[in-house]
Amino acid sequence: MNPFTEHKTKVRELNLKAMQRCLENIKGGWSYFGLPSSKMEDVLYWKEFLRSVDAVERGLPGREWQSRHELMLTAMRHGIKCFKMHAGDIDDIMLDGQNLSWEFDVVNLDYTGGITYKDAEKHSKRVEALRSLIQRQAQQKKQFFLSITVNDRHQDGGEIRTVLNEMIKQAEPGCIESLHNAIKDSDQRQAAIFYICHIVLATGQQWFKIEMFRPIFYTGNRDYKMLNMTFCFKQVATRDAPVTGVYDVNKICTLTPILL
Amino acid sequence: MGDKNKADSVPKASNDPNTGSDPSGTTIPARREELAFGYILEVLTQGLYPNVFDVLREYVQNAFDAVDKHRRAYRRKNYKIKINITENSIFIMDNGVGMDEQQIKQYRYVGYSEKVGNESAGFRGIGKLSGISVAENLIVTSKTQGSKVAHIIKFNARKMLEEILTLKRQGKNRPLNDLILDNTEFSTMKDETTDHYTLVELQNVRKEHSRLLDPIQVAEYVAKICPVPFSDRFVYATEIETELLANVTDYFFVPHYVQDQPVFKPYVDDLNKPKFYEIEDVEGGSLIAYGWACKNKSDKQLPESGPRGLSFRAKNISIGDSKLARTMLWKKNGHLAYWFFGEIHVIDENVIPSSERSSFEDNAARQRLIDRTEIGMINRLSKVAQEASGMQNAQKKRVALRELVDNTELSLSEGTLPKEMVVYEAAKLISAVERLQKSLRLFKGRKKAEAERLLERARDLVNNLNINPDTKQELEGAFDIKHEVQLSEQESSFYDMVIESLKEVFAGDPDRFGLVINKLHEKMFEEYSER
Repeated sequence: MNPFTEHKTKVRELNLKAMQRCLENIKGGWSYFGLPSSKMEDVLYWKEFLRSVDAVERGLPGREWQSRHELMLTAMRHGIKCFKMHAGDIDDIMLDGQNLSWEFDVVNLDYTGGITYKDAEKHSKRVEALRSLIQRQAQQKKQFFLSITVNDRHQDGGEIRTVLNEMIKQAEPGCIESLHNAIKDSDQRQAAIFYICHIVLATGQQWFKIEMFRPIFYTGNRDYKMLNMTFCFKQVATRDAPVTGVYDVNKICTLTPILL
Repeated sequence: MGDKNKADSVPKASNDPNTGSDPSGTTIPARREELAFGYILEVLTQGLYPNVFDVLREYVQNAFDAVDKHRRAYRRKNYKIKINITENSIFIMDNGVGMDEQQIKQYRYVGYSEKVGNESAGFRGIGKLSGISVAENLIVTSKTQGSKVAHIIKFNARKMLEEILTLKRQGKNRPLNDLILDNTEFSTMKDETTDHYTLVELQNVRKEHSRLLDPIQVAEYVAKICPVPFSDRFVYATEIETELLANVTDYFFVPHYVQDQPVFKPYVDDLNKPKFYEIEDVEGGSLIAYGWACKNKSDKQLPESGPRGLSFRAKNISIGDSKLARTMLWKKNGHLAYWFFGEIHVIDENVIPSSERSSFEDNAARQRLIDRTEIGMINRLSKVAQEASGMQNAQKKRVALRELVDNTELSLSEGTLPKEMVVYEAAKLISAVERLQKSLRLFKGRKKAEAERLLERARDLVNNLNINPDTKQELEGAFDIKHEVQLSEQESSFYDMVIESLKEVFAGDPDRFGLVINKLHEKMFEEYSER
């Protein structure tokens, strides 16, 4: 087994433990939405816990048919129950909803790139899509588990630095130092941790009580530096309407990554 | 993904239509089919399949053949045919023998098939391309046991058909092979598992064929047509399955799944136990078909809303529907076909299903199948149904006579039977007695004794009624209006004249005559009761 495969297996194992803790009250299996890729290794690893799988596949330009065909081949060979394939870009799907139920128990966003790619108009579709996902799940009052995997190659146009500087203003001394180090560090994964937590907490805390699990650092294909982050979104029974997105920055500083 | 061998990058097929060479390196013997021109693709793929589900059947049939081939070679279990629908595509997958590189390249050749005659459910080498008529792309991935790679072929169906139509408009044409080679591409995929399979995808099914994307309709079709097992809930499932396995050569079924749900043959509740029929080519000869049939527990046709009648199966795949068996086999009393639910499994390999599998090719073997099935099965079923039908009629006749006897006796005892009606009541009784007498042989035991007692009672009553007109004796219990309302002699004569006229008018319709008489008596009571 090559190190990447070994690391991915470990990540899935750790994710599963977190999922089991997060979704312990859900009986009859979990519904999955995500980017499993045509080999569907994550889905196959978690198969016995899943009751349905909604998989998004964009495919390589010009050969979109092939990835989708292979995805279905994997699903049918392995008897993945209630499998649905959605062709297209996952960020687009999360943004426009596409008539999906948005009552998923497990959302696995195993991206191939970084967390943010700013377009010419300084918009980051991925970040907006992530917010949209959380809002859609919130509208369904749906407790869920979110896993995000990115590498450190984002094109943020300086946004991460700006966000972290804003976070410094609300942080306690020990945390301030962590934030400064994250900004300066050549390995941008620590900065990505703060940034992803900021997006998830600022959006999700309006409706959910959010538990953050320890991030995982590992080495990906072509030695890319990979980051996996997981969150448990629990419904707040007394919260019918969204509240202002205030969260405690200092809690993020307590998250120490697991190094694989 | 491994290497991609786009058809664009390979040399075109020879322009010499006699060479039959394959630019991808596969040696295919020159065949007349390969010399066909592009239009034929349009005809083959569009004209052959009036029902869009027939396209699905072609692929399920191929899947079944692949499974059957693997089963014969390896004697394994756990075979499955799965059909999944997602977005605009339908997928058909089997874990059969799979295709190697050469076989998947041969997939492009219309009319080319390694299958022989009736050894396989499909054998013409046409159906494999039927997906071209309904979807924009036809993609097939296949892997044989022991191979480390899966082979993928993709047909760009939309482009191919568009090109044909453009050429057609221009009055041009081109060799079919060139057309197919230009619009197909191969690739391979590493797969080191021990799995063996074929997956067919009809990608982007065209809107006009969207019924293919409805899982409910697909499951219903598969249940009726494909070689699926009986449901455990069908009480005779095991008995029938055991008999078929023992008597039908190569009888085999494969669990089918549509959207992960198992599909079973349709069945009917409330059936009598199945009866089995060996259909031989000559008396004591070899088996050409084997049938089973269950009669409706109620002695009547099964409801139209559910499965009924007999259906033909070859290689356990349905040929036509129950109407085919009805028209082919029930030359008389066709209505009796629907008293039964069953199947006729064709064993004779000379009986060849038509390409659209709605019937059989017209040949001597087909005629023999018809003739021998009539003798070996249909005549017996007809006899059973006719006897049951006769019994049912006899029961109705018995009930009718009993009601008539009861009512006549009651009206006599209550004094409400008009004298004018006596002769008619007697006639009705005589007729009902004759009808029941004819069916008396159908009753057995206690029921026969009951029917005989009823006939005796009816005859006594008839005799009693007939006393009056013949002997002019007063019939006890008959009601005389002339006496009741004390008509004068002149009035009585006039009344008799009216009655005679009415008898002439209503001759042969005693019921209406009775109504008129009753009405007349009512009026007479109103008019004369004060006297």
